[in-house]
Amino acid sequence: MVGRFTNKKVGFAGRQRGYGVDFGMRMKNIKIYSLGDFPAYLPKLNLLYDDLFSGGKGLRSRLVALVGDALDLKESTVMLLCQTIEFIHNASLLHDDLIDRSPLRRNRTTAWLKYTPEYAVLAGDYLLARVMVNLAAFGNLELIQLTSQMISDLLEGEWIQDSLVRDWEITLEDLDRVHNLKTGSLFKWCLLAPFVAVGSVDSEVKRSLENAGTILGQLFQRGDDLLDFDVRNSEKKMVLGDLKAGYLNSFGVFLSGRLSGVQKQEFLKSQSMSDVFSSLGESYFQDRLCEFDRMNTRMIALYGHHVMTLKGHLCESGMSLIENLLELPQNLYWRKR
Amino acid sequence: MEEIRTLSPRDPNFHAYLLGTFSKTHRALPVKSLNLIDGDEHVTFQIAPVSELRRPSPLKIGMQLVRVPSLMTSLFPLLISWVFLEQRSIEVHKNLALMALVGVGFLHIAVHLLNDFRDHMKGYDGLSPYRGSRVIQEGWMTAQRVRIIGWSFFSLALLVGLYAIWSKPTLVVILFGIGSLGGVASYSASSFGLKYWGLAEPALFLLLGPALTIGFSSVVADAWDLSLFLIGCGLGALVSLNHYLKNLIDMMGQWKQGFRSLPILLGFDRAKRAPLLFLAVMILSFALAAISTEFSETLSSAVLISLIFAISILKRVFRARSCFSSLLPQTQRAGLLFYLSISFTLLVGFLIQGTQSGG
Repeated sequence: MVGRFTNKKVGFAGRQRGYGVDFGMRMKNIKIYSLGDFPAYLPKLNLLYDDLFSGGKGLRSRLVALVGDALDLKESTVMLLCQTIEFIHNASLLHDDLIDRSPLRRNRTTAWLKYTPEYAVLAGDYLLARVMVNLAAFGNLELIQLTSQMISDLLEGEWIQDSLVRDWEITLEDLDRVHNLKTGSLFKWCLLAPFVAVGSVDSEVKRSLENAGTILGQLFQRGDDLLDFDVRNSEKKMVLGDLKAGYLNSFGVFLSGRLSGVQKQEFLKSQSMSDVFSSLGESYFQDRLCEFDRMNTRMIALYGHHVMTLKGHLCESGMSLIENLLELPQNLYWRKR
Repeated sequence: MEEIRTLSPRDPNFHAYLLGTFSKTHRALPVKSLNLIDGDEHVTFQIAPVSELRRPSPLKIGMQLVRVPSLMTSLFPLLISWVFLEQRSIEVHKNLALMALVGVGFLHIAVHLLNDFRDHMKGYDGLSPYRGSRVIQEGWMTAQRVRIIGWSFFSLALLVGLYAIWSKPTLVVILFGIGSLGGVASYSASSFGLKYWGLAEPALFLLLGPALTIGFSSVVADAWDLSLFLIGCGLGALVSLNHYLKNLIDMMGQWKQGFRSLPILLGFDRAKRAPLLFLAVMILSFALAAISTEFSETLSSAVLISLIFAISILKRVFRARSCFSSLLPQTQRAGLLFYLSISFTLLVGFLIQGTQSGG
């Protein structure tokens, strides 16, 4: 589905780009960005954004649209929210790639390498500024507060994560707290923001959405971390990217938790999955994967519980939202298409 | 199959679930929350059959409940003072010394259990994973039982204190009893406790350091000694350091809950340098104590051990890049080992010296 939204009020009309990757969810693909959205007189800005927004699954904006549609939000409001989350997410990618010195993003040269680190920083900052300008024009103070808090959490997460490079003894509990800031905050926002845009949100609904969003973010992150170990990697993401960059992700922590010192050193040196299997043994790897899945299945049950608590608070049309939300872990954790 | 249930504080069963009294066959384990708590917090419980919970041995649960290493920080200053006085051939009122030891021990256990209970009921430990004994969170014991045990220990501590006053009704004994209770209250009371004002470390330094050694020697021997005061300062500085490291690790949780601990007041980078001060006070105290005892072998060994541990602790803390660094929990464990090693050295050293001088 392309070109669903054209919103003159917030100035997104014009040439739009779609997110073509179907992630298997019953969510709409939404065009987020058009060249007319950003000042034409700024050198390289539009080119840089053109590169940045031309890939990606638009997962978060589709989640926003899923909730927004169930709440019968105006198209312009859904568009504003989708753009907000995608701008913030992409700003974080611009900064993240520079911090990690990553050469590739979505199989393309990263912005800081293709342009300059300075342009990458400024382009990320500009996206965050645009978000605030657009939200201020919308005039919902609670939404501005929610969004500012999300940006603040995201940056805190980035900051802390940077301090954990080459920390091989980090615990899963601490990593969860970092991921909650970095990833969970965005998913939490995706579920909550459409409700806030409608008007005042009941405190119980808010709590359920926050809890569900936080867990969804954790599940997505853990699913993503498994891709790094080539588990359910149908997206063909680069294998062992985190480990090679000096970062032990959630599955890495889970895998290495029971290893002896020597085994762990071997594991940390792995350059390929065959290195991983030879340092740990393939059966150990599979056993730990089953345990990891079991642990996350319990988390999915908890997510389902929080989603179900919304039942009493939504009208009949909201029931389909509950059904759709309950399906999300299939895609976000199990990566089923 | 585990059941999940979210209850609001308005639910009539809310407190029964929190206390664990809702069922004899099941436990309601509070699910950890990564979100900030507010005043009207709902709690999500995982309802698990008691038979399916993984429980360690009762001995391990008991040790975890009373937090043995932490308990030793109250008992070691008393034991060390006792053997120090004996070694100096100062007459010690043994019954009173034993009562002080038992009374302080009971009070320490009571305070920690009641703190655990309070943190659980208020949901504080959901956001700060490093708090408390976690016996309630793991389902090994209901909150109600922890509360009952806590108040039982408190009552026992009071009884021991009253018996001590009855057996030696002097002003100094009464002051020691009142001082112990007042010290605990001024430290941890939720409305005015020093630990909520960034003053936990100085308070612990005094309470588990010189106040304990000097208070004890005044009660049991009607005497006090400069060396004992300095030993108290050294031990107090080390207890404060260990508590400080815990606060350093828990900075994010404390910040989000609005606590004003010392690391939060200092900020992470300055906070990383503060252990230097604690260690300097400790080494200086032991060094002065060694000088005041004309370089007793025991205190000289304490200085040497302090120097070795201090270097290893500082090296780890300085390398930590954030409160999430795995180096900090390692440092905290090293700090505890440090305390136990120093205390054990002092205790055994004074015992041996006492035996030799007695012989």
